[in-house]
Amino acid sequence: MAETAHPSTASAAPPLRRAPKPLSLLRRRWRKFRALKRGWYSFLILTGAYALSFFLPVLVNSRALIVKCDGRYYFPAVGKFHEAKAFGQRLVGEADYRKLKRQFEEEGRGNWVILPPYPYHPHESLLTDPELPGNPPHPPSRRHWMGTDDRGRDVFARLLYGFQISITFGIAVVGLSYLIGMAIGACLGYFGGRIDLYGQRLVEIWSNLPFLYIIMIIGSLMKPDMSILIAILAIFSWISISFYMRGEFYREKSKDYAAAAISQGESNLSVMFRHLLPNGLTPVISFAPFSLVGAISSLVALDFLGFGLRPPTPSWGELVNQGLQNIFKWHLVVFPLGAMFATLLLVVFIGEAIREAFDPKSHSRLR
Amino acid sequence: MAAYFARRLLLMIPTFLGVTVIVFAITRFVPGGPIEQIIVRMQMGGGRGESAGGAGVETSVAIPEAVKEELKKHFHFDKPIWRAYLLWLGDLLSLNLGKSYTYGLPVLELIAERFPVSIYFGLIGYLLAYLVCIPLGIAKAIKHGSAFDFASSALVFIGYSIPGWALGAVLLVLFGGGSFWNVFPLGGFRSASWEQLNLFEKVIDQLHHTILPVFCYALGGFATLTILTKNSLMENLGQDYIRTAFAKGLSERRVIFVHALRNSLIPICTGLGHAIGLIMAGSYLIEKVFNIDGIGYLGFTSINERDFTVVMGILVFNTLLILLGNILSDVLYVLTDPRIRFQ
Amino acid sequence: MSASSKPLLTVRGLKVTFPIYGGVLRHKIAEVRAVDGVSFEIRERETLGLVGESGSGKTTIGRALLNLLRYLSPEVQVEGEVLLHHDGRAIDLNGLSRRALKPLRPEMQMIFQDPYSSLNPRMTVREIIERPLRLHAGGGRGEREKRVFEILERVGLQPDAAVRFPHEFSGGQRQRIGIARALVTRPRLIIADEPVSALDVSVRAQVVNLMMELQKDFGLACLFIAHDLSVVHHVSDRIAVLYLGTVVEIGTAIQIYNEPRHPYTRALLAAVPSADPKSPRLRGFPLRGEIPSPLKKPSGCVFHPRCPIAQPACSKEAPALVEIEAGRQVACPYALEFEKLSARRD
Repeated sequence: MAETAHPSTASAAPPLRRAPKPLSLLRRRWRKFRALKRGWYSFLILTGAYALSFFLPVLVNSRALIVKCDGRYYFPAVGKFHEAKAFGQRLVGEADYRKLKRQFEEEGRGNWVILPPYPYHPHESLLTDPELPGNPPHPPSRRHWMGTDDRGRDVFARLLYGFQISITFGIAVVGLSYLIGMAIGACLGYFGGRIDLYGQRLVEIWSNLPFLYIIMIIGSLMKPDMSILIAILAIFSWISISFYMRGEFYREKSKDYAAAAISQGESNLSVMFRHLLPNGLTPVISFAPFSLVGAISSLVALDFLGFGLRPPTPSWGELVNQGLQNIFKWHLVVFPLGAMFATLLLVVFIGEAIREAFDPKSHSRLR
Repeated sequence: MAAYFARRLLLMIPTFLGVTVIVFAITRFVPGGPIEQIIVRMQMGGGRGESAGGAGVETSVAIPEAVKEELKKHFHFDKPIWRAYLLWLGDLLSLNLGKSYTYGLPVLELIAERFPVSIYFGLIGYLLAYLVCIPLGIAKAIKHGSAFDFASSALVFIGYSIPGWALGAVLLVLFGGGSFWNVFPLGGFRSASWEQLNLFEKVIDQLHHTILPVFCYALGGFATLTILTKNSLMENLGQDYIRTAFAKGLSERRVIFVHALRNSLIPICTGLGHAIGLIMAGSYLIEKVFNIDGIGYLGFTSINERDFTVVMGILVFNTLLILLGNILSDVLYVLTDPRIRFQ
Repeated sequence: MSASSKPLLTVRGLKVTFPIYGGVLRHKIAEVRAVDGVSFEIRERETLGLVGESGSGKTTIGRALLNLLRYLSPEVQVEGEVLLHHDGRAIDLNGLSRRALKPLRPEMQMIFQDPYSSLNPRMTVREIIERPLRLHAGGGRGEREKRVFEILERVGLQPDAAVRFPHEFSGGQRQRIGIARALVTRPRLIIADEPVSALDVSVRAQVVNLMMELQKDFGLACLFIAHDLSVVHHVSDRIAVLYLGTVVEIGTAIQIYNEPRHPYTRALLAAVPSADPKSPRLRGFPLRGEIPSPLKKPSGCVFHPRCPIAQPACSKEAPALVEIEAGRQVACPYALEFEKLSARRD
């Protein structure tokens, strides 16, 4: 546009929607991110795998998808619990659908069972399975692709369920710790003055704690469940993002648009969240994937040490610990750590691309 | 500057108090504390019982009340928490960290015995990382965008995605004589037969035990150190003073290694101070993987055994190391960067 | 320039103090008085120019009037009275709570120096201009939309600018957006903090002319802050000259521009480049040295170390503003003897 005062156009008419539509900063960066193929495909693979993991109950499960028994249909995988007696099995407790399948096939009465593609449940102990002779852990086989662990549970099933738990856990830790860190950093940076002075000292004290050791102590004493473990890890990992947020808010607040917002009579909350926060999100978005790497590997490490999630939660770290107790059971170490490595590598690729899309100037990239 | 360091030193006090108060309180308020542990041990006839692994310790065999009272008194459990804490703090100031009931030895002695082991692996690992990463980072910066740069970046990505201890676990399975090759021992600091070895065998044995753990420690800092070196050097190479140096006819070698590198190594130098904290954090996992009887492993077992005198002792030691490391970093900063004047 | 004599804003004894922290415990070890007892008055529909070098406290004054300092840097202490004449009452804005201040906010708006940092990069132009209306004016969506497009047209922007983001505009256009934002709530007073000094010279005149035109049409009063006299004398009815946080001379634009009295004003005027070699302004003299740090303010008259006619008494007692003719006050007891004293010095 030329730098001249335009002659008055049709007054107060709504704007003409002309192409190309102006893009917000976020949209432009998102486009750039999509153009970085390695990161974008990693993002698709990881989100796809995570989305798929919510269908694990029908993909990897010991409960049958559909049972047809004496003219009635049952859906144990998604439906309710069925006693073994309901299908004429001589067992106490839940029906054994793999056995049922063979039983129905032998009977040939028109009853049938459709099992999930991989018919084992991560919590299910296969010690009594006649097809698995010998003591657990069993080595990989055609039925149990990655073998079983020391309680005879299928490693592949535990690995897949462990993937979902790890990602969910990591996202929750990052989300919560960023919420804490952003709130604290934003307050320090925005309000400044004494709040900042004393707040920074407190953050400094907190940042000098030997986190892993303290979490180990708490973990051993409390045997925390997932939500408490998420909270504990978040409480100890918000520091770095709070530093960045403090810096962002401090810098953005000194810009004139913040002064303009205040002089218009915006409330503190409105200035912070409506005006400053959208401009201070760059470090949040570009550090989040790397924090996710940290959170997931912390979970695996804590599970490995035995201070993580309660058994029998499927967990990569716990498998590794079993594997190291018995050096001949390589499959208990290599598979879960391979899974962790693949997951973390995808996250690192995503993070690298996001960083390049959001912060093209900075020399902080991995490449 | 003096004021800055005085403030940092003063700040150590509240930090230290904060850390110990938090952990002291935790050890008090959760079940399965030291008294229960000792009672369990007495019931089992003094042997090293299975760690109770949580709450719900049974006390079926009668322990005389008098003994219980005695124990409570010994651990100051008969007093309110703030008094118990102050008593503990008083002992600490007179350098008395208490006695471990699992080992029957003073905590200070336990730590002093194991610290050299931990620092041996950790320090060698970090030095190795510095030795590899700085030249690699420089090479990557000089050949930025080349095939070498891309290939080594793959290593960096991989290094970032594998925690050191996890690599250790895999290496142990591969080379520890399990299902694959038998190249390295299963861990430990030295062989059990150490005393019988001659000097040459001792050196070999020590090396044999050192390689894998040290490799894991080195991996811990590999990715970040390499990238820090590369980016820091690249940033400096883009500065005007470098262009000036080239313009006055200096050789490329001289410009890079004398002018640019000196400034680029400042952030890497200062990181040395924080290495102590990182070594300690890494030791909890790597020493567990390799069964190395260092501070990390001591902390791990003490937590499992509820041996809280040791747990608190290691906490004190660990925190002090982190705090001193921070100050060391600041000192290095001042020494290496003439521009820094802390206020 | 149809200024009335009714006062709109009266500033009395404004003092702004910044603390300086240091030492082992980071306590307050000193303070800087950036604005030291400034008093002036802005009348309805007039433009008061406020001129001073960087560090003279002119931006601080602008922000203090809008009660911004309290929120931008809470450790700052603001004393004195800022009286807004509103509905026949004089309300002291300084120390008013945020809530009590809010209904008065639309009365006073600010135009900022830097057209790049003064617009939120994440908001469209429409959001930027509409925001104050949402906060104050009430009215429905349609009403707000109408006013946004009206004001866009008034500042000379196309209606399709509304859906764009600030980064798509040039500096001058951005400044027009800033003006639109300030005017959309129909304020009575605009504080313009060096509104054109960050712009290309070729664009300055357009923006200044736009501001003057809008001021006339909207019946605005304006505090026009600038670091030299070149633009100010053109837009202002009256001018106040600031040096190290104190007003050294105040008078009509014609008085100040044609017949500066305070030695500092003379120096400022001499610094204005002129196309006319015979211009009387060349009778001034160049300033010696730099403006001192507000941390180490000279004793007595703050200008005396740089003053060509400084007398021994000047370093002892700070001179007060004294009315030397109708509408003009000068803070220099020797102002009328400048020629005599400076001649003797040579």
